[in-house]
Parts: sequence; structure tokens; C-alpha cells
Amino acid sequence: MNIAQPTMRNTRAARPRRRLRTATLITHILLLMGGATMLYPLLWMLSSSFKPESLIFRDLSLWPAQFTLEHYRSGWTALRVPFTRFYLNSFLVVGLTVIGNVLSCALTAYAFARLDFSFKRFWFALMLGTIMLPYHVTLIPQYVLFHRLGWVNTFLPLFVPYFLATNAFFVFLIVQFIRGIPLDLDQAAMVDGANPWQIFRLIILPIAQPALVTTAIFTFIWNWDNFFSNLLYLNSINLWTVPLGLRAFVDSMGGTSYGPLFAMSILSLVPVFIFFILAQRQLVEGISTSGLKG
Amino acid sequence: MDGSMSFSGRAGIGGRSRQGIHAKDNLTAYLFLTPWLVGLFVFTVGPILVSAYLSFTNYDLLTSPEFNGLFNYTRLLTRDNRFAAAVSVTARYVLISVPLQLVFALFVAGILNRGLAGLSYYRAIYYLPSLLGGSVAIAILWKQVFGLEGLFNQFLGFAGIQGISWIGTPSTALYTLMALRVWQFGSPMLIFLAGLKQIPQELYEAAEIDGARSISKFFRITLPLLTPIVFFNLIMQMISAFQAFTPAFIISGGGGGPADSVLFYTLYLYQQGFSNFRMGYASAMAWILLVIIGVFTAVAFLSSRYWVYYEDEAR
Amino acid sequence: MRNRLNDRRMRPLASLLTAMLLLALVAAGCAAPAAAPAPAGEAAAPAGEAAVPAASPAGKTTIRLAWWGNEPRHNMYNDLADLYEELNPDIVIEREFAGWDPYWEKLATQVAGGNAPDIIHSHPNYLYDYGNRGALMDLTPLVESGQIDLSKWPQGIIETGMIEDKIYMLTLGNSSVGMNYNPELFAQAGVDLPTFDWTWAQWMDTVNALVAGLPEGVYAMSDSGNDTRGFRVFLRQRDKLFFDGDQLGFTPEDLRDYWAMWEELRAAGAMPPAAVTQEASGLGHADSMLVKGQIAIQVNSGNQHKLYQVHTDTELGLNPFPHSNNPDDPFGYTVDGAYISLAATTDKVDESAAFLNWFVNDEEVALIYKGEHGPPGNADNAVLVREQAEPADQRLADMMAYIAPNAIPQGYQPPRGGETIAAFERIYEELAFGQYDLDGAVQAFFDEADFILNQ
Repeated sequence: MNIAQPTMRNTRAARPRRRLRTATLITHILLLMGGATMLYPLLWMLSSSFKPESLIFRDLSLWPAQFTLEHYRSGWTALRVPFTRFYLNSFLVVGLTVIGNVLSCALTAYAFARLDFSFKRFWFALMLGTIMLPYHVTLIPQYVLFHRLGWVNTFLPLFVPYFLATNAFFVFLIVQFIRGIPLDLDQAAMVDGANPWQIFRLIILPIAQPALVTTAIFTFIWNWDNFFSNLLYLNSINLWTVPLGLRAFVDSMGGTSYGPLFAMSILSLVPVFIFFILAQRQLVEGISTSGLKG
Repeated sequence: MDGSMSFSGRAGIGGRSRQGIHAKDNLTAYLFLTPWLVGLFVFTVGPILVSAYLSFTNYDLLTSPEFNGLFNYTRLLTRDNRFAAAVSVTARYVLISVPLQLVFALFVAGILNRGLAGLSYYRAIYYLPSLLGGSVAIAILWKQVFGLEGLFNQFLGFAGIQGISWIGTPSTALYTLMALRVWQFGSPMLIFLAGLKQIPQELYEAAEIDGARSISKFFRITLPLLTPIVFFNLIMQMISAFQAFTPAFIISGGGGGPADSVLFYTLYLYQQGFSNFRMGYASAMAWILLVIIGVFTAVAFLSSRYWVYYEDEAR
Repeated sequence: MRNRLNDRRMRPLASLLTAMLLLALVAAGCAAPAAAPAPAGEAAAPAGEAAVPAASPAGKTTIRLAWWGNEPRHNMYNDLADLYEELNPDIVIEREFAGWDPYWEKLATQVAGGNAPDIIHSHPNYLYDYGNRGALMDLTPLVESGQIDLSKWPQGIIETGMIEDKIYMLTLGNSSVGMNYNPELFAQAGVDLPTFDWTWAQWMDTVNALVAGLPEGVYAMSDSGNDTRGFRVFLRQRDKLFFDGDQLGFTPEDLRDYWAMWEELRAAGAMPPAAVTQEASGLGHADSMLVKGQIAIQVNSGNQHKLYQVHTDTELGLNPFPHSNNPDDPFGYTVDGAYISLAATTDKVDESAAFLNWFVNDEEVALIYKGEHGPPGNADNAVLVREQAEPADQRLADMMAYIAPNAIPQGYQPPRGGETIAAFERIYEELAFGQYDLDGAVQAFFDEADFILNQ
């Protein structure tokens, strides 16, 4: 280390500390202001869900002048079938989707990231190609297929494709992540006589956890709000998921009732929100450790 | 078994730069790939072939498809004014909102990565809009916010500015949708954060010892090491933007208005397929979109050789 | 060591996933009886048969009923379906409903997949699209055999659901486009109320007088030059139809004359700015400009009149579209409404026909339905409903009584008709936004109609 520096470092030491505190304070303020601006529309919707209908568009403040839980009560049972059913259906469908997606995408990603095989480049390009595929291209043929299988008006069309890694986006994500894992571990394991399956299960899978958790999170979030395919395949009200229930509030042939709509919208957000908060801790811990440290 | 650890520095996969260190083993690999292969053929390739066939036919869903050669394509590319409008709207949307979104994402991720207190709260706050994604409720909220008597105009009113109906005016409607997308920068931000965390602290420490300042550290350490993530986010957000549908659908009521100003490509495709019963025509549109996206992606991949650096390759 | 580390971290995630899995299983347990997905038995059914995936309870037949609407209507239909099930214990009615746009989108896909519901709601806009393609069942044999009893129906009303001599759909209520107005605003501006026999010239005078008498921010007339129903009235008075076979049935001059009237009113400041109209078009009745007292005259279908009335204490008025300035010209009016049909692919013909017959003829149904879409087709029921009607419904009945005897069905709509009408509406909007001048707009429409219909 430099010995010629000490005196200079002493005088510099005092200034950076003060500068640092001010800088941090400013950063916090800016972040808070930015965050408040970003969230304002959402907070407004939240507070509106507690305001009587007549006040929603007149009273701009975030704190309701009059507080009411009426929208939540009326919204929950406004449709013929209460939202309880919709939530159960959503959890079932999305839960299966998440599990299937994580498992099948991990399997596929490992093969592309770590294994060598014939036509690998071709399959990889093909897989990437499917990410780019507009879903409308396959919409009608898929519907006819599902009808022939008798799967229309069931949950099957919504989650079965996810057990078959049809969501190449996540395969890509996990591949990129695995490629970021240095090969030393694999090599060490191979020296110990491990086969690819064991390496996958015992080394790659645990280390790739951040990517898997991200996959699970995004799969949940994207499918929780899925609207069009739900509308297409779920006809009976008993099979409806939350987005379909929400849509029933909004229609083209009558008055819109914003209070219950906002209330139910807020509620539909809650599972996603909780999921994210819980998984966030996991994400942080996983990401901050790469496979090799030091 | 190869003792040395040198690989050729290519961003591609396969070829001479062998990613894995296992010997070529088709059986194991294809076993791993079985779920994906089944899904690929049954739910993707099969339907793609059918729709490719349909793109050369006149198919109205209720009667059998009837072959009409290149008619759909020529009509689209040479005579359909609304198609041209849709391409223009979508191109502007993608080229403006995606870079903007990524810039915000990277900027905020960079700030959040400094080890501030309350990181998880800030992260949640900025991610929240993205969390709601393209849901119906948010589209409706947005319509409210940018309407004539909406939130946005109320705030403009405080500043003494008379607002217009942003979603009802053709020249501004598209920008409200761009704002909606940029508002949802939390998703790529999260991915940037994950990437930033992976950059070893030692590199920054070493640079600091050499007297590097923040900006320098950012451009010489952070950004280069982040390039795989930037690349990933760029591709993903671009593809997602090309396929944007729900907000435009909800805010315009399915019409793409006012005056086709938010007639996104997929919305027009949807109109032609489901409102006008031109399924063959819509299939042709889907294929053209595929080509457009393919071209953009290919350009991105080709250029990635020059600006993307991977951890597991020697430089 | 690494495994231990990972175990610690795995636990929260593992427990989360386990919780979800458990929840999913619980939900599956609750959902199973209701969802009853079709097992191998259904898949073995011959392709093309409109097999109902959900299994019917033993001894009962399930028929599927689909409709469009909003919440109050959904509740009413569900009550009616329940009532039918009570009266016919061997029938189970499976219900599907959605808003207007999703309804038609889904129906298109269902018909494509051979999976359309047994009983569907239809509309004159779609009669030709679906009827000519064989998606709707020809009801004529059922009427002739007496399974569907139309003895109390005026012939003219039956004809509105026919293509040539085949009956494809039955009306649930006829209506015509009209002008809903606010008499209080008229009084405020000192303008006489419109009469049923007013002419276009009188209409324009009325609107101009309203412009002069109304305060700033309150508009006289809704921007409705894009409403093709009104345009059809105008054309009929010139003895023309919107479509003549597969082509347009009118000339650029006709369109120019019609839009010129609206442009003149726009120049006089009678209508809201285009962006305001644009935004208002997405709102429901409760938030409409008419209900909020911001507009004096609002064009809309007559059966929407009571939906406005319900949200305001001001007693509104309903008037037909104007007559031609020349009293010798034809009457002009057309009718539309909501209709009901059977899917051509249904295999439950008798049960569905029985439901249909009950739905359009039964007195109790008529009293519950209360002219939801307009006066019912069954003449006895029409009288019955009218007697019990609220003032708003009576106004519609009055208007329909004036119009219906001389009205004609909308007329043939070619396969690309819907698309052409959409282009009409859009180009008028662009005209309203000033993206075209009048001649430019007319030309643009004819160019696009040619593109749609002929290329």
C-alpha cells in the first residue's frame, strides 16, 4: 500500500463522509418522489375503492373524505358467483402453470446450456424463434385442436402447454443464467463421477435458483392476469378466473360502476403482491451469492 | 477431456465454442429435451404449419379454406392503407418506448444497487406498476387518468394548464400508451438489478484504488459486464412491444381509434381475423409480423458480437 | 457446505411452492364437481359434433344458452333460465354470457370450432354473416310443425329475421334509432320540442336555435354523422339502400349531402369537440353527456332510452329521425333489435326449440323481460308489456308504434358489410378530427369501400 498517501487521505476523509451523507439524503428524496409519482395512479385507485361512488371523481385527495367498505362487499358478490370461486380457479390454474413451467423450462435450459448434442444450434434457433412467434398465429389451430380433444370449457388448455416448456422466454432466461455459472463446479463434479442428471439436480438447479425463482414469479404474474385465453376456453361461470370476473364489471352495454371495479381490481392485485414480497427475500439471497465465492 | 479452458469468443451457442464440457451425448440431451420437443410439435409447429397454409387461403372460419395464392400478401403490402397505418403506429411505439423503458430501468437499477437502506421497499415500489402488467383494470385506470377530466389534467390544472383529452385525440393517444409501457419499467429493472448484483465487488474496489470515479466505474465496469442483460432485456421488451395488444384494445374499445391512432399491428390483425372473418388474411399478417420481428432480432444478434461480453468466454 | 446453504435458502421458496400446490389441490377438490372436464368418452365422439364437454346429470338434458349484455341483464337472464329449469325439471340450462364485443369474438371462434352454444342471441348486423354461412338453423320447419308458435306475430316482424323465405332468427324486441333529448334544455333555450313528423330542415333549425340559446359548455347535438342507422333512414327516403347486392347502394353525392348537414352543424358549434365525443363513446349511460345535462340531443337506439332515463330525474324525450324535406319521399325507417337463434350444429333441437318457443311467447317471460330490447314480437305480449311499462318504455313503444307499421328490415348486408360500416364510422371520425375536408372524406370512404368490397 502507498505510504506517501496518509496525509492526503486524512484530509480527504472528512469531506467524503459529509458529501456522502448529503448525497445519500438527496438520493432518498429523489427516489421517494419518483416512487410517489409512479404509484400515484395506483394509490388513487386504492383510495377510490374506499370512497362512495359519487366522490370518486370529485375528490382528488388520497385520503377518502368518506370511508366505505361497500364497494368491496358489493363487488365480491355482485356477480352470480362470488369472487371466492374465481380466486380458487385462478390459484388452481396459475399454480399448475407455475410448477409446470419451472420444471420443464429448467430441464430444457440445462440441455442447451451445458450439454452438447447433434443439431443443438438448430434447436436453439428454433426455440428462440418460438419466442418471437405472435400468439395469434397459433390461436385458431390450437382452439380447434383443444376442441377435438374435448378440452374446451376446462382448465386443461391453460396449463398443459406449460408442462411442455412452450414458454421459450423462460428457457432463454435460465439458459443465459446458467451460462453465467462458471464451469469449475461441473468439472469438479465430473471428476467425482457425476453424470449430467446428477449435475443438473445437485449443482445447477440449486445455483440457478434466482433464475428459477424469477421464472416462477414472472409465470405467476403473467398468468394471473391472463385474459384472452381465459375468455376463450372458460365458458361456464363456475370456471371463470379473476380477470374474467373483472371484465364482467366492464362492458359495452351499460353503466360502469367504478367503485366495485376498483375494489375488485385492488383485490386481484393482492395475491400477486404477496407473492412478490415473499419471494423477494429469496431472490435477494439467491442473487447475492454466485456459485463461487472468493 | 480437454484440460485447457479456452473458448472462442462468440456470442452464439454451439459451433466451435462448446458450452458444455461433456462429450456429445445425444441420448441424455434429448431425454432432457423431451417435454419441450413434445410441446414444440403439438402446440407450436403443428399450428404454425396450419396457419402458414391458411395465409395462402381465403378462410372465413365457417367454410373450408380456399386457396388464393399470394393475394393476401399483395393486398397487405400494396393496397391496404390501414395495414400501413398499423405498421407505422407499432414501429413508433416500439422504437420510442422500448429504449426509454430500458433507460429508466437501468438508471433506477443503478441507483438502487448502491446499497441504500430500504432497498427492498424501493424495489417493490418501482416494480409495482409492472406487476400489474397488461391487466384490464390498469388499462381502464389509464383511460381514466388521461381522459378529459382525468387525474393528469387535474394536475395540469394546478399548474394552470388546460388539458385536452389525451386518449381521445389522435395526435396524443399513442403517447399515452407509450407512457403506460415506460411506466412499467420495473420488470426489466428487476432483471438489471439481478445482473448488477452479479458483478463482483472486487472489480469496483480495484478501480477505486486506481482512482476511478462513479461515472467512469459505470461505463467501464458496470455497463460492459451488463451487456448480456441489456441484450436480453432489449430483445424481450422489443418482442413484447411488437405484440402489444391489451392496452390498445381496452383503451380504444377494440377499434384502434381515435382515427386508427392506436391501431397496433396485433390489434389490426385481430380485427381482420375475428371481426372481419378474414382468417387467411390475418394469418398472412401474423407471418409478416414474424418476419419483421425476425429481422430486428437477427440484427440485434449479429450486432451483439461487438458489444456483448459473456462471463464464460475469454476476452 | 453448499447444500446446507441452499437448504436454508430453499426453505422459504419450497414452503411457498408447497403452499401453492396445496391450495391448488384444495381448489381442484372444490372445482372438480363443477368443472367435470370431458374424459376419453367425449374425445371418442365423432369430430364435428357439437358435444357439450360438461357431463349432464343423469336423466337430464343440458342445453347451452348464450347472450350478451351487462350485469342487470345477466341477472335477469339467469333468473329466467332458473325459472325454465323449475318448470322443466329434466332440462339443465348451461349459461354463457359476456359483453357485446367479447360475445361476438367468442361466438366466431366457437362456430369455427364447431362448438357453438345451442341457443344463441343474434342481431341484424350479423344475420347475413352467420345465416349465409350456415351457422344458424333454419327455423321455418319448426314453425310449420308448431314447435315454435308464431301465430300471434305480425308478418312484418317475422320478416325482419328472415333471409329470403327462411326464418333464421326471432326478435326479442324491436327498436329503431332515434334521438333522445332533454326537454329541460330545450325549455332553457326557448326551443320547441321536436315532433314525430319533423323534417331535416326543421331538425337543423332546431339545433341552430339550441346553439343560440344554450350556455357555454352545453352542446346541442351529438356528433352522430357516423351512425349508419341514421344514414340508412336518409337513404331510404331517396329510395336507396346502403348496400345493393355486394356493392354500395348509394353515390358519393348522397353521402356528401348527408355529411354536409352534419358539417354545417359542426361549423355552427353545435357538437362537442371530436376528442370529447371520442372519449364519451366509451362511457356507460350513467356517465353519458345526456344524463349529465351536457348535451341536448343524443342519437342512439330507441331501446337504450330507458337506460338513460334510469340515471336521471329529468323526464327525457324520444323522437324518430327526421323525415325528408320533400313530403312525397318514402317514409324511410328501418328497425333493428336483439334476436334469438338456434345454432345449426345443435343436436338438442327439440329441447332448444321448446326453450325458444317459451322464451319468445310466454307471458310470464314477457313480464319479467319487460321489453328489454323493445316491444316483443308476440303482439299480445306487446300490449301486455306496454300496459305495465314505465314512462320511458312507453315512449319507446310510442315511437315504435309510429315507425313499425311502415318500417322495413335493414336489408341485405354482404359478407364484407360489417367491415365497410366500420370504415364509414372511422372515416367520419377522421373528418370530425379535421383530418379530411368534406370531399376528401367522401372520396376516402368510397376508396376504402371499394378496397374492402372488391379487392
